[in-house]
Amino acid sequence: MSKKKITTSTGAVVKQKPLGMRIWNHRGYYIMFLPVLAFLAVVHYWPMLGIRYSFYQYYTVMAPKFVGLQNFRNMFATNQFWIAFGNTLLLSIMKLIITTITSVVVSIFLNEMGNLFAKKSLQTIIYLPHFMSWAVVAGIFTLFLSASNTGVLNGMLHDWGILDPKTSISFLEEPKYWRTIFYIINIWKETGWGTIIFLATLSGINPELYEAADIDGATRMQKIRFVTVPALANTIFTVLILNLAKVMNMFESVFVLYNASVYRVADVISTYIYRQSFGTAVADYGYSTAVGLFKSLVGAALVLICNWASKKGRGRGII
Amino acid sequence: MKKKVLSVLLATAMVASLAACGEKPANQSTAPSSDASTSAPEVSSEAPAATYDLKQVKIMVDGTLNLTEETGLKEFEEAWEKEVGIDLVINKPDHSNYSEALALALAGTDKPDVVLMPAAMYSQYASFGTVLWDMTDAYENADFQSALNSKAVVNDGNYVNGRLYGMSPTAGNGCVTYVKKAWLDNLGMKVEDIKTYDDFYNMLVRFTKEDPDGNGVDGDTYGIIAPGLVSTEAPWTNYLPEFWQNAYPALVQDENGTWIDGFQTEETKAALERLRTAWADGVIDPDTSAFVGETKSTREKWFGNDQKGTAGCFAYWAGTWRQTLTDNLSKNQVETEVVQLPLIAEMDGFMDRKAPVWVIMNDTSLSEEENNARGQAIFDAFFESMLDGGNVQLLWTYGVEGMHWSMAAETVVLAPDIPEKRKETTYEEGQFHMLPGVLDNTALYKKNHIDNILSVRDLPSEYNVSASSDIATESSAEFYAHAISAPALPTSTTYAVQSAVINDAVQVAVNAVVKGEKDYDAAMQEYLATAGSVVETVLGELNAAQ
Repeated sequence: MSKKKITTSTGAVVKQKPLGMRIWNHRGYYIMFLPVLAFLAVVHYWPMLGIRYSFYQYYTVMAPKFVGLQNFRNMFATNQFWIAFGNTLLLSIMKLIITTITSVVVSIFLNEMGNLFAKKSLQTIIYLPHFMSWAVVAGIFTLFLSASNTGVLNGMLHDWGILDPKTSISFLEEPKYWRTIFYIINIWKETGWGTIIFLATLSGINPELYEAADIDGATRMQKIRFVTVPALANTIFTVLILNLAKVMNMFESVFVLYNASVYRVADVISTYIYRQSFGTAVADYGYSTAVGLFKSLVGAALVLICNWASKKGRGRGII
Repeated sequence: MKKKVLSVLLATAMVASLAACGEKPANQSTAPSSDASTSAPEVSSEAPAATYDLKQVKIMVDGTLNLTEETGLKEFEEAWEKEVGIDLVINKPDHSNYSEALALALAGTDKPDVVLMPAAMYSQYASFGTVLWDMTDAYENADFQSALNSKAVVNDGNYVNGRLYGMSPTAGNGCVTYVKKAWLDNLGMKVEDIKTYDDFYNMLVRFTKEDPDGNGVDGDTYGIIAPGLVSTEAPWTNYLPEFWQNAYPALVQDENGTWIDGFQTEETKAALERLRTAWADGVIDPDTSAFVGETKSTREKWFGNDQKGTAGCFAYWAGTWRQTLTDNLSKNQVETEVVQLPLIAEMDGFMDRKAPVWVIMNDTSLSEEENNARGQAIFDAFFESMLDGGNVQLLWTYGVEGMHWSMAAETVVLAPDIPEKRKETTYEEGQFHMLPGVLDNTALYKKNHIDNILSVRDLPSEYNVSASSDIATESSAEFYAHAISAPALPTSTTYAVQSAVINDAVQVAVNAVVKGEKDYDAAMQEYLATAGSVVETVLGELNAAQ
């Protein structure tokens, strides 16, 4: 068999060495890569063997029994599953859109601030909530929104005469308020962190563009509209499609804020899987795995769609 | 060349560190120094003939084993090992996430040998008969049998299909409603005058509308608080018993033994109406619906330092908890006694729940004969000693001598650094007494795992002059004077794996009705749409098995 010919970076055409020889020549790098390969295999790929249990009836009290697609049939016939699936998409996408918009607005606002001390101070203040765990955030907002006499918001509504002192609103337990509150909490927690990438983009805008706009007599708002926002457009698109691939991975933020009263509007796929696994006396891991696998497949499809959208919009993919 | 050598060394070190991650912790892999082998004695004609060399017992237990790393868990382990001669490994996950941790442990390959299992979980696992060791013969022939007291009847309820797979060292206990006596005094009321639901409700209304805490502000308090309008586990109604009365909003057997859905009965409808009225009148702290299953948050609000916005009543475990609640109120400078509400006329009794049970997990890698020998060996080492009426039972009941309790002649000083609370008590040699808490020296240590008031075997009399205060003993006596056993738990394959569907639907419906978001019929329609088919299947399975 003849050796394959390749063209080097200098344009020379040479015969490619056999694979074994190439590996031997670069053995140091391959040896260095071995731990990474082992880590990936053990931590990421070996657990994937558990996927097979989505085709089994797997109770913890007996040996797994192969049931084919029965778990998937059960899943598609379950109303609560579809509620959770719909909520996952709605909550994730709405959260993504809202936090992206607020991040852009806050970034532009910060970029326009002339006082450096005030700008840095404000940046620090709005970054801080990102570093709080969801459990702590839930604790703060549960107290703040409590319907009892100790609830801050209800107290304010009573004091301002907006709400009858004899009644209170259980904001986190009422379906009509829950989603709005969820979005607000996400804005509070994640907007600051989301501004980092936009501020980096803004700092890279050529000042000559603003100078040219000044010469043309543009107002501050016109400069934002015709210089700043167009400069951010590509970044906004990148952030959106990168995060769109992660919309199925929503658990902690919902888990710490939801309760039985709001399952209809708050239950997402991950919390549904959690309750199926730990809310029953005997967990049916086969069913939970089937739901988890479905979630992963939808997530993978979204990644591929985003990759396609990225290639179309930016000229390069995300994977 | 140097770079290559360095890269090889680096890679080797990383591989070694990865491999090390997979090793067992030292306390699990190290063989115990004591080589105490326990032979399986012949307990019946079916007793195992094989012997099993038991060197270590790995247990998993929730927060009802009160000792922690800070308060003497290691010392407890060492004292147990010294008494029994076998290595004890305790896995004690966070109490509030115990069920999740247990489910994960049981799904893994490295299962604990002995597990404390919630009653609802036990009944399902036992019904499958494949995972838990059948301890019927071991229990019925145990050395402690002749010394058990009347509370041992609790284990009669643990038989499933005629076999016993788990044992509880204590009676189940249940909840009674505690009331802040100072609030009653401020309103000129007496707890003994509360005899009917109307009396009870009137008290709650006055706690809500008037000024029971005497802070000069009317209406800044509530009548009652609970961790949820309906509990997240059997017996479901225990945290608001006067409202639920004799309703049982779960699958239950009627007087003929037929399984029915108790959530769809007239009793439940009436209970929901009572709760709905109370919610509308504002006598239930609204945090009740936010604190579902969070008993810690609920009780901490009840006895918290800031009494604004707290409630006068709180239903919680009878017995020792009465003293604990009293101590916590005192610690928070809330000057009040805690009195216990008598049984009201509309209730048949206080619900005595199914107690959590200790079970032995089967080892499926062994032959049946070996597994039986292992089970018997563990039973002898762990269960027999837990109820030995002596040193090991004392460990489970009160903790470690010299650290948590003592028989020495000494003066015990409570709150030595707080002059207004400082209290000295002198004991003679041989006089049993508890010692101040390891982390909190303002109160005496109370118990470890077994509540002596509820124990199925009495300790020798000198130890019964115990940590159990008069109010705790009185509370338990009052409870058991009117206790009724909680209904049997359903055991069916569908219920075992789909009970969450029913429980979620019940929570949703109860919240919707009580908060006035839906009327009873609309809420019931949603309940049936969500869980109706599962309920029907489960009832079919249960009644077919009758």
